[in-house]
Amino acid sequence: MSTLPQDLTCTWVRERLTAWLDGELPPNDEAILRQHVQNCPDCDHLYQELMALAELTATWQGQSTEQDLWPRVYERICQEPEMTNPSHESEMLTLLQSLLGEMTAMRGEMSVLRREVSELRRQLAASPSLASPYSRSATGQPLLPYASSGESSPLIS
Amino acid sequence: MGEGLQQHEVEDDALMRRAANRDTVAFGQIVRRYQSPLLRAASRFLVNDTDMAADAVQETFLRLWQAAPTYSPQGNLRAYLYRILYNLCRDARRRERTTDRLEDFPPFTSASPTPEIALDRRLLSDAVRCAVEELPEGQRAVFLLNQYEGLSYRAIAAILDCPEGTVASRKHLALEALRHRLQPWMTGEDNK
Repeated sequence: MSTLPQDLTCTWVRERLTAWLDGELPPNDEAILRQHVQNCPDCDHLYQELMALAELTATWQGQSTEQDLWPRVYERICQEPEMTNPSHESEMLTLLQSLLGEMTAMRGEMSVLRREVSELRRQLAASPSLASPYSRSATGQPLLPYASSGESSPLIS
Repeated sequence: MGEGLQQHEVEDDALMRRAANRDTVAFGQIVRRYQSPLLRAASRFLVNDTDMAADAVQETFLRLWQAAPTYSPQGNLRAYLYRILYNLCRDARRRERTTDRLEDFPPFTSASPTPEIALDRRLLSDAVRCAVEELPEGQRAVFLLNQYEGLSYRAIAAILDCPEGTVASRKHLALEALRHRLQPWMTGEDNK
């Protein structure tokens, strides 16, 4: 923090007494101050006064501070724009609407499929001579739901 | 990162990284870790006004939360918090200047019993508080941060944005002023 003086003076020492008490002096300077204070009654007196002052000022305790601020801080940070971001909310709303649309479409397809299956079962019951209930008699291809094939079922008007 | 940092500083950095990702649990740990020392410091900065102190500390944490995404972890969260708090308290003090002065308190006189017997800690505490209150703002800040919060000259220099040498000289001047102001309490002599 400081350079060593050419000629050590009381002024030089006194300017550094506070830093010494605060433990902020380089070890070299500290040794010089210690030696000087031991041999200089005036500087020693000041040193003693500063130590007494440190004890005196420690009597100011401040106010009792035992309280938990987290609930109040949490409440406030939840009100921060980023935590209630309108664009974030609108994104979520769009996503939900999209999901609802998908679910409605799937429900419609399920309804069509259910009716097709019912019709097939009815035909099967009426024509026990069909080779396999799971293949088209004309093509031999597996049965596909009309909803996924893009065709409309001839059985449903 | 990490070299030269103490364990609690490393933990602070980790918590701040989580807070940057809006992790309120991590941020809650930071609040509970620092609320007591900050409240104590704020009560001194604001001359024992506990309501204002609590408001200032809350605001400090709110600003930390807002700054978390851009906060650069380097083990100095404590100093960072004190810096926010000090600036808030300084502004609050400017708005509401306190009027207590040392002269408002009964002076210690030679007619009193010896200091060892007569020393009323509350009166003494008030006298210290007022003497500190009357220091110039720069000296007062350095004195409070060093004497009561135990911050090093380097940390205070970072908080107040000034050279370490300035911190040292302000502390020296503050002690000189307090020594004169509180002389009667130290020696039992009359105030004047």
